[in-house]
Order: sequence, then C-alpha cells, then structure tokens
Amino acid sequence: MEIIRVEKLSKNYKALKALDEVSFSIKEGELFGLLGVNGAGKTTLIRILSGLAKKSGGDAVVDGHPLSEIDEIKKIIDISPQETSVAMNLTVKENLFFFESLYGSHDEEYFNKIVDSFSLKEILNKRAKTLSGGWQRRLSIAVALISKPKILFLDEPTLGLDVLIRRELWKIIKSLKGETTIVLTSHYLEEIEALCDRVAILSSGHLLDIGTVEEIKEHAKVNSFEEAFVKIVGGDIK
Amino acid sequence: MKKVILFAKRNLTEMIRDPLLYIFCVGFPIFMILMFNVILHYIPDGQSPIFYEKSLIPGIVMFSYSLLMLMSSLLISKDRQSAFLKRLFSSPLKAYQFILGYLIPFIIVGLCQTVICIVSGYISGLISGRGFVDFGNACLLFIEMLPMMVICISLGMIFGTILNDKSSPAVSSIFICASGILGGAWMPLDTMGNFEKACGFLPFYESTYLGRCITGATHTPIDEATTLNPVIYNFSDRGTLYLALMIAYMVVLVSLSLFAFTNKMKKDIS
Repeated sequence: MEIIRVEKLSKNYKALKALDEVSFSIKEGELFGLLGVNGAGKTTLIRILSGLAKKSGGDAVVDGHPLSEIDEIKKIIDISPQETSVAMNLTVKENLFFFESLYGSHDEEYFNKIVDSFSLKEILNKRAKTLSGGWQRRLSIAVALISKPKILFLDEPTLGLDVLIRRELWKIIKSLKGETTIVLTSHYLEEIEALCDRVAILSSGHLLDIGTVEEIKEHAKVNSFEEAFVKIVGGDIK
Repeated sequence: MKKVILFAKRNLTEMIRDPLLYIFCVGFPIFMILMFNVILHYIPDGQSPIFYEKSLIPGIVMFSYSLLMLMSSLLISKDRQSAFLKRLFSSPLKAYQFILGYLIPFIIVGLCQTVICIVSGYISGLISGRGFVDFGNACLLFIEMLPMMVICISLGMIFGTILNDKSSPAVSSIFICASGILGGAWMPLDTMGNFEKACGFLPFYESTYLGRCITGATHTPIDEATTLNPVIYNFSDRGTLYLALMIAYMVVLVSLSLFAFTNKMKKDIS
C-alpha cells in the first residue's frame, strides 16, 4: 500500500527550478532513498513533504492527506534535518521527553526501547552540548523517532560523520525497517546501496530513475551501482 | 495549552542553564546597586539624590530589562541558527504557541529580576538608613515596571527574529547603552532641560520617571533653594503623558514582534 504519492511536484526559487514535475510513490514500511549530487532537489523534496517549504506546482498525498492538509500530515511525520537540531542545554532525556510530549503522551515502554536502540542509557543525563558530533546526530535521529512517526524523513543522516559512527547509524536505521516508512536522502552511494529498498535518483530537480539498486544497475546496463549512478546522472548533466 | 507550557518549560530551562542569565540579569543589577553605594560614600550628603535607592532602583529595574532583551534575542536567534526551530516548524506547534512559549519564560525571568532589584533596594535602603518604599508602593512599582518589561521582551523578540546570533547581541547592546544613558538611571536628566524633555518621548525615561513618582524620589538639586527644599517627582507633572506613551510603545512593539515572528515563520516555510 502506498503511503506517499508525489504527482508532478515542482518548486521554483525565482528562476531556479529546484524540482521539475517530479512524480513517484513510496510504499508503507519502505526504506526509500533519494540519491543525487548537491543541488539535486533531495532536501527540497522532503522539505515540501514535511511542511517546511511550499510547493510551486503539482501535489503530493501523504497518508491520504494532500499537502493542503499539512497540519494533519505534521501529526504523523517527523524529520531529522541535515544539521543536528536538538536543544543543546537540555539533557538527552529531556530532549527525548520534550519531543515525545510535543506529539502525544509519554509511553515508558517505547521510550525505553528508543533509549536501548540508540544506546543512550549511559548518557541520558548528559546535556546535548557536551556530546560529540556523532552522539548529537544519534540523538537527533532518536528524537525524530520518539514521536512514533508513521513516516520519518532523514536528511543526510550521516553527513560529516566518520566511517565507524556511520556504520553504527546504518545498523540503527536498518533495525527500523518495516516499522516506520523512512525517506532518506544521501549522496553517499554505499549508504543508499546498504540501506534502501528502493531508490530515486534526482539531478537538477529531475527524477532520472527509480527502482531497487539492482533494477537501476540493469537500467544502466552496468555491474556496479556507482557506475550506474555516474552513467545516469552524467548523462543528464551532458 | 499543554504544548505552550512544554515549549515554555524548554525555553526557561535553556535560559536558567545559561550562566549569562545570572551574570547579566541578576548579578549586574546588584553590582550596580553596590557600586553606586560605594560612589555615594565619597559624595557629600544631599548632593546626588539620584544615587539614593528611591531614585536609583526604578532606573536599575528599567536597565535590567534591557539585559533581558539581550537574553531573549540571543535565545531566539540561536534557536533559528541551530535548525532547532526548523525542526519544530515541522511539528504540530502553531505560530501562537511558539510566541507564547517564548514570551512566558521571558516574563518569568523579568518578574524575578524586578523582585530581586526591589528587594536589593529595600536591603540597601535599610543598611544605609536612607530607606526605600513600603510594601504597598513596592507592589505599585512592580506593576508600573511591567510595560517596560514587555517593551524590552518585544524588542528582544524582534531582534532575535530578524537578526542572526552574531548581530542580535550587537544591536541589543546599542539599546542597552541607550537605556543606560537616555533612561536617566544614573544620569541626572532632570538637570538637562530640553534633553530631558526629548528623553521623555522614549520609554526608558518614562518608566524611570513614573517609578520615581511611586518611590517618592527627589529631583537633582540645581540651586541652593532646591538643595534646601528638595522637589519630589510628581505624577501630576508629566505622569499621565508618560504612562500613555509607555503603553502606546508597548502595544506597538508587541504587535511588531508578533508580526515579525509570524512573518519570518511564513518566509522560512515558503
């Protein structure tokens, strides 16, 4: 069953077309990747779907609600933006509690599950500003999940993190598969290849290809995902 | 209302965990009271009534609000810079809930500042033997200062909304200087003729003047006659005009801050 349907969605910033009539759909429980180089339109797309930007044309339906019903959509989604966005002077526990309470009431069992999944138990009483960048990012994703969203948008979740922390975050994201629909943007090919059920490749606001990693390799008639990406996006640039 | 309280609680926690709050909003006003007591020690009796508690405390309270303006502008601009607000914009929080969530902790801190300044003035007056005000007038002074507090919070919200976390403290510091000089807290504006009248069109001096009417402070002596028979600040002189102007400033600045915040929020989601 599809949970997000994007129909000819466009976004213009004055003369710049950040998104140009993009259409696709995402199934419930899917881990869907948006792949593209910088400026491809990935972040713009999830900003529109999460109510952080207005569309210029087309529409999208999220869990049965068109974008005009954004207040309803906001109740079932959460986003972890590119930048770490937690309250720095609050402790880890207070951050989790704050975001959980914004969306509903406290659920002790689920709260503990998130704390365990993200290995936050040891640092529950530490202030966010005292944590390292990797732990802050981990907390940033945890607070996005604490509200039990039906759909979670992860915008470049591992950007700027070292390879070990990135692998740990992959494990956590993988463990969420099936429970929550996840839309993940990245320009790391290996991240998309390791995590996503399906991928949409964007370039300069256009949707160039969509499918599983294997299907995309078949479309490009190459053996590696990197070659496929370069062939598809490189062709578009030319 | 639950979401407003939740957001307000977060903002209050952020503020009370920031050491700047204690330095600027609590420590600095108390330091000023102590400093003027030391200065008074070296000035012959009766020559500088502006430094007596009855004159000084309304000015210090007014000045302390300008530091609250700095704190409020810093909190909002930092939230905007850190993408924390961006994330909250995708949550079910509404624009009015954001505004109330910011206003409530600023008001709580402001009220605490007022109490601290008045109590410090009372203790200082008790120790020095110059006296301050009775409980009734202290309460009246507390109420009279509220519009100035709201004015400064509104200014802080405007600066925090339209400026970034580097430029908002810079612009706030201009207003802090303005309130220190044009508010007449420690400058005898009442000896400066037309300059005092000009300052009377700004909310800083208006709140100080009205506060001094309540405490029964005396004007700075300008000749032998006024030294021998000090002239008390009188509400009937300019009180009504100053009160009306101060309330007008409050209404305009509150409206402007609401407009600025909601407008910025809309722009960020465009």
